[in-house]
Amino acid sequence: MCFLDRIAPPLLLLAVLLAGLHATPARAEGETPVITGPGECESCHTQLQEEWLLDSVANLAYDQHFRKGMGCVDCHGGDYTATDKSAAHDPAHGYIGIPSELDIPALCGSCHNDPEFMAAQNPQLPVDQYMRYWTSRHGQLLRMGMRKVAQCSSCHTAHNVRPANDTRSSVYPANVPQTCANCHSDTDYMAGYRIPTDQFEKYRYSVHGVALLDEGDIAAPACNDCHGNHGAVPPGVQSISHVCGMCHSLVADYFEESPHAAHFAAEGIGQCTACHDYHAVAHPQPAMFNMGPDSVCISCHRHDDAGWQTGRQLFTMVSNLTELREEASRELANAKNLGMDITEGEFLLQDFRNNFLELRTLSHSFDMELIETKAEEAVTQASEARAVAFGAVEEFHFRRRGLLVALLLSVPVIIILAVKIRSLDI
Amino acid sequence: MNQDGSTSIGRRLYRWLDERYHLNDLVAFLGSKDVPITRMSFFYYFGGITLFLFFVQVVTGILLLMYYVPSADEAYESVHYIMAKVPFGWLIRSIHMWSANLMILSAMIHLVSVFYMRAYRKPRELTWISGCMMLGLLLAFGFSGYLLPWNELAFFATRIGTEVVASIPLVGDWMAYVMRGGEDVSGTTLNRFFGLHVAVLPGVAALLVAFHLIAIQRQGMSKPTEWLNKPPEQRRRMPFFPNFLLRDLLLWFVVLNFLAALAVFFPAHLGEKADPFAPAPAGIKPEWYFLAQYQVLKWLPPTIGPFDGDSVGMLVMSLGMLAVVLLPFLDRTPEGGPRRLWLDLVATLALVILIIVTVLGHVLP
Repeated sequence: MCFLDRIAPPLLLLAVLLAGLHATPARAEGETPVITGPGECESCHTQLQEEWLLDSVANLAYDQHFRKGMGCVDCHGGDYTATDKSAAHDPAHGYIGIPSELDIPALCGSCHNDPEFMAAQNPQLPVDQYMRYWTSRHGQLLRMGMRKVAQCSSCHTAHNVRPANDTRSSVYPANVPQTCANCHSDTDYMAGYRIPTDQFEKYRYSVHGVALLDEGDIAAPACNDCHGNHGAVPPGVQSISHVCGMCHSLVADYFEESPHAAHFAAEGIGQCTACHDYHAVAHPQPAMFNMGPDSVCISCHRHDDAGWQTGRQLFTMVSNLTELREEASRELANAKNLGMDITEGEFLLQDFRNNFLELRTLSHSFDMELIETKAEEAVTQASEARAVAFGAVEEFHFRRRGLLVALLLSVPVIIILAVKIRSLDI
Repeated sequence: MNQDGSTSIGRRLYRWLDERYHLNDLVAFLGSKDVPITRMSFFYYFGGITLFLFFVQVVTGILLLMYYVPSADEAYESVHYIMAKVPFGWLIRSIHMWSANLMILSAMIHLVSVFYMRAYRKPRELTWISGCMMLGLLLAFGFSGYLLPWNELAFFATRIGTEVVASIPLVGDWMAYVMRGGEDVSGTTLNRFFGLHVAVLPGVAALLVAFHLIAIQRQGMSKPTEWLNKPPEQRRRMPFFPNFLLRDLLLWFVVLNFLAALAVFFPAHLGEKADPFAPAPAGIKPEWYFLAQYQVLKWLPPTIGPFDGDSVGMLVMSLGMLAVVLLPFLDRTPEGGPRRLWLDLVATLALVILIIVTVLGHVLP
């Protein structure tokens, strides 16, 4: 264990305690938050015509807080009934102006950390964001005095806060990657943090990024699904399989039983990321097992060792199955184009796909006996699907041949009738 | 057995039957029947073609009944089974579908030709009315049979079709409710349509066909005016038996082969199973023989004056159909009487409009 790993837990605990001591919510403990309403602020502020101010409140009408009846003074303080600037902005009335980055978590937490108050407003929302935030890397850095770190309004915005299930929200699943990228892809902004700024670029065309951003599958993971929401931290080597395993649970289980698990743990190798990368997770291809340029196995395995041979075996098996699937799909499509019924073949191909998916999952166990059994089932299904397609095409030709025979048999009858008719006077 | 022996057996069998059923009378009757020869004689065959296709429907329908299960849960699966597993099931169902369409087309051509040949005039008023009723029955056969596979297209087309029925003034809502067996198309509708399709309609159709044929035999073929206006020595006739019947047979063979070719090259499809809770797929249209009616109702505004637009449309179309049925009583000229130009003009105009609107109904989105 390195020095940082040893001191991280006590440092984290200290940060949480300090956060609890320093960043207390704007209201006194036990004081129930009160929503005051819009008040007189807009009577002056709409006249100011200051571009930055108007821009910041341009979407206020859609803001969840505003829609719930909250007014400016609920966050900025001051006297909302006063019509005179000095009276309205009187610090004696709690006026704080634009809250500093350090004060924002506590300001938001003054309501969102209050279970009783939130239960009356929106019982579905959690009330632990404030506490979690201080455990996050963002919170820790803010606590250390850095100001170029995300706090509540960095992600949720200040005056355009919308529910996370609103597609226009900055924290809607499909918008989260861009929201994070606003800071993390900005090389100037991130200068000094010594972390990469290409995460979004890599994620964008990863299997997850394509599913979420191109196919609109909001079950696909965005940044927060692996790093956490308010308690965002980068997953460590030990926790990576648990993070991936939240969705790929069977894969994680099989991997834990594989000979790789103990070895990776001992060597400090990232479990899933060692082969699949993290932000740039590509769709797995058979070539990953092949001991060629695209292989991930050759990073560790040497020529003709046991792992090398298993890899080649898996590559051959998966390649053959892929070829079989493509052939069966092609033949079924051909039969369908001829107008034949191929429902049974489609069911078989679906069974094959399920088995193939299971096989890909099983491959993480590297238990060749289990994998070969599954592969045999899949081969049988693909072969049967292909046979259905061939049968349908044969049936298609049989029908045409049958029609030809029927027509040929009819011709003599028609000729006899025609001759008989011609032999009659009329 | 030699030829003499077999002939002898045949003759003996004929004598045996004649002794009991007086076949000689029937043969004599058939021998005396004749058909006038005119330049429109070809249209005489459409009555026979319609009858032949009706028998094809009966035979293929009975075969389909052996596997079809009339319930919302199993109808689709049973039709799929017929198409995929039953030997030649696909052929039987495809012929049933194509034969239904050709039968309606053939019946329509028969009706139009009878009109232009003035064969509806006295004394054949009831033959005409029974023919019109049979065409109505064929449309009912088509409408009820269309739902039986319980696929998506049939379900929503039936929903639209029954909505059209509901727009008939006064009795429409009640009729639609009775047809559906409830407020909307459901498994009950399927059961009702099945009962209609395989029991009620065939029973009524059999009675009407029998009446229609007996009436034709009793009254003989109608003589077109142009034929009657010729001098007696120029009036050409064709014996019904065997001359006309052989031609009928030849045409039936051709039609049967045509049906087989249609079934092979354009087999009936099944599509997706009906889901009452799914949204109606885009571009749902009724069968071609209801397209004109459907398109007219689409064009009509929601209201015409104080009345519902669809109801006014249905009323006008119903009156038009009633006029067709009662045609022999509107044109009281006896057989061989002069043509009525206004009637020809109105009928031709109506026919052209019907064809154009049907085509537009097919082409327009």
